Amino acid sequence: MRHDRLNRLLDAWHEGGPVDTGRRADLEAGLLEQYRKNHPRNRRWLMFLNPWNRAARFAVAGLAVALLGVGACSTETTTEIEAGQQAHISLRLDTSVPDKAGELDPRVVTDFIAAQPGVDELNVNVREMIDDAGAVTTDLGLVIWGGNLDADALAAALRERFPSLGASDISFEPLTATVTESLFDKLGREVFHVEADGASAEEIRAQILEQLAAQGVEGDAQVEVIDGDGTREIRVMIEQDDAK
Amino acid sequence: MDLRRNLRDQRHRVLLALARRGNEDAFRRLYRELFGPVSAYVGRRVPNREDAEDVTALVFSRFVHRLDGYDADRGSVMTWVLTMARTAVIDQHRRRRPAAEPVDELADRLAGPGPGPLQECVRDEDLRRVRRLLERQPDDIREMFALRFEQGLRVHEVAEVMGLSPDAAKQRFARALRRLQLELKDEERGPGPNKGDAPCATID
Repeated sequence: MRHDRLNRLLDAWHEGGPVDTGRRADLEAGLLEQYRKNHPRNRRWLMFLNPWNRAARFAVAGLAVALLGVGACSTETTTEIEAGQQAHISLRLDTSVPDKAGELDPRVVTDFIAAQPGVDELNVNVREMIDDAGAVTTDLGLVIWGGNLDADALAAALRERFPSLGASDISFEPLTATVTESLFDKLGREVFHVEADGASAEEIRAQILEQLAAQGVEGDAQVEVIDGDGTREIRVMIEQDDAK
Repeated sequence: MDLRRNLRDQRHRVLLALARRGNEDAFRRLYRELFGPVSAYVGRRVPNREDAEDVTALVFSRFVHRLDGYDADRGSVMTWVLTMARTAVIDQHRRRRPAAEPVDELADRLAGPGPGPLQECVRDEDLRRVRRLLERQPDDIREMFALRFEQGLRVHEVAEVMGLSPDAAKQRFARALRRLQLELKDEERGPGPNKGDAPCATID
């Protein structure tokens, strides 16, 4: 790749020094105090508003679940987060077909991919193989980074833009990062499905407790149902038993 | 490096999302990961050590207060916090600047003119060459290089921090790299090391 040596020299020149961990620690205590005032940890209500619909099961997304309890919520869970896609594209250039080769220039293909929605960054490895008949196969190994990539849409866009890819292999597999977090925080990103049709507060509470138990959280929940003008507001406060 | 950077960015996003929900451990971990790059950025641009510490503290104080204001669509957490650091450096410079000091000094300051501890005694000829080449570049280009190579930001993130359009940043950066590449080749073909470089002191 171009500029490799220059990039290495620039990296070396800009390389930073060691972190002053003493200074970091001095600052940390004060910051945590500010943080605790701005983001109190243990007393938050889960609130959502949903349109009244007696016949509907409704899903609640993006819940902030409050866990009250003595001691830290130390139960850990591991969550996989998709960070992008790893793609392999095999471009077969048939040199016996006049003037088709130009369309599948690897640089043109990668520039097209880099411009697609959801693509933050692209790393490319290119390998060319020529068989005895002179046919050239170019393999593009791509690592495509982006938080909201749609692999199927990307493959379809490639085949539409480069019809000559028709016979080529395009495969994607997700790249995932693993995050270990407390169960408390995982619940903040989970969806609860609650049957609200005519259900009382006690029945809704029972459903939520059942779903929490399925995720390994034992405790108690207080549910308050407030029916308004065409809306139903359900407030849930969950108390977790001490972590063992 | 790209793989690590992308995983780092993803990890920061998750930690920040957890911190917003009151997860103190996530906040602490995120702070500890950001402290090094921010303090290095500020330290290279604010010459007085006490001032640099105050500016770093101010950056993180703003970070805590603005935690809920981070927008993932605009860039990485690192970009966001370095933008705050850049603003804080600019503000500090404007407060401290003697009236007689030229405004250009700020641009030079943002480019990170001070060498880091690893460059203060540059023995390697290649690195001396890079220093000479960088010194000849305009201040905004040097700042772009510093953000790109010192902080590991992508070009569109450099644009975000410096308040440029992504296309303008991409073009300037590509042109600057090409120019630097040609100048590097010319230097290597040249007569030899610049006699103006003082040799590093040796310790017997």
